[in-house]
Amino acid sequence: MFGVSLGIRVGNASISAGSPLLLDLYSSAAAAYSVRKLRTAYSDSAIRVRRSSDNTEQNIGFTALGNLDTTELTTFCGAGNGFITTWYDQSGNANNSIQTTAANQPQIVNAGSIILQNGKPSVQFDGINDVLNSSTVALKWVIAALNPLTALSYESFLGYDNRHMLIRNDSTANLYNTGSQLFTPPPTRTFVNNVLTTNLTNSTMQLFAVGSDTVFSSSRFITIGDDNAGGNFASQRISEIIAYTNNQEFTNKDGISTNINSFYSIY
Amino acid sequence: MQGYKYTTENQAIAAQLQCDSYYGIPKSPEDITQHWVGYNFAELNTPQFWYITFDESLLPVLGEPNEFEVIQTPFPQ
Repeated sequence: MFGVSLGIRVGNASISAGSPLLLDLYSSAAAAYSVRKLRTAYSDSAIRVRRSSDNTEQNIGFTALGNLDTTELTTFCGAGNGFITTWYDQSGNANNSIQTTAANQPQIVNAGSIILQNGKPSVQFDGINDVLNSSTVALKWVIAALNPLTALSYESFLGYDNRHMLIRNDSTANLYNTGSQLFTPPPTRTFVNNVLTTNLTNSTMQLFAVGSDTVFSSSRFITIGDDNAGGNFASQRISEIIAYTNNQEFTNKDGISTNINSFYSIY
Repeated sequence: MQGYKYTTENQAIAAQLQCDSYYGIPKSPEDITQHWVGYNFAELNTPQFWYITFDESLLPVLGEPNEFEVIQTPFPQ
């Protein structure tokens, strides 16, 4: 029997049904959040959304081609807004990132339109009180595709380990790692305070990788949008975060970066 | 910042429940959303207090907000 390959081209991202996805190629992630499907065997939803019209919640899944089902999302939200209550973990470890308080939920639909970054759906954090929290896990390496918005003082895009910040902004819009090391695009690799950081960027989106040869801590997992202690909230749009228990910096980092870039057109 | 300041945690929880009741949260038992608004502890301030950050949706429930300062955790060097 002959197989049938179904393929489409979106921007510079070629998506083919049956092609291996990022986590099929680079497995052992501790947690993975995205607006695209990352693992072929993953069969759950992408996100759970609360709509502003009546506060009803609904899971939103993926299309057959592995993209966020934007038709389902806009049909559910209607002309109103949509807020993320759960960003489901696609790694298989059930480290879902959630927000139980309505006022602190980041947004994905605004007045009936999906929030986009580089043409792809993106989760927008307000820099005031929006944050998503996940469960405890030890990790050594994190990569994220995001876009800083309004530059505030002491922003923490990803919080971890009780107030340490993996990525931070300030009033000059510069970006730093936990050791206050300035990111210098593109692409750089620095080693400060036992933290390796790299940054690939264009004017509308940035790809960050942060890692260490020792586990940062197992005390708490990443919070998306604050410093892990309920402060220093970030104004940002974020589309994908993948965290590993092993440092991928010198093994799979380039492959993972290329895979992410092929979808989001970051650099 | 603008918000609502409370001297005890129980006062902050009562205000939170007022908002939940006004907006009908949680809407159903299986929902993730359990509260309309959260409250925080200003642990670095003296005296310490609890507070709710202002949002326009809170006006009909909690009234006009107050202006006060919350000391943030310093950036780790």
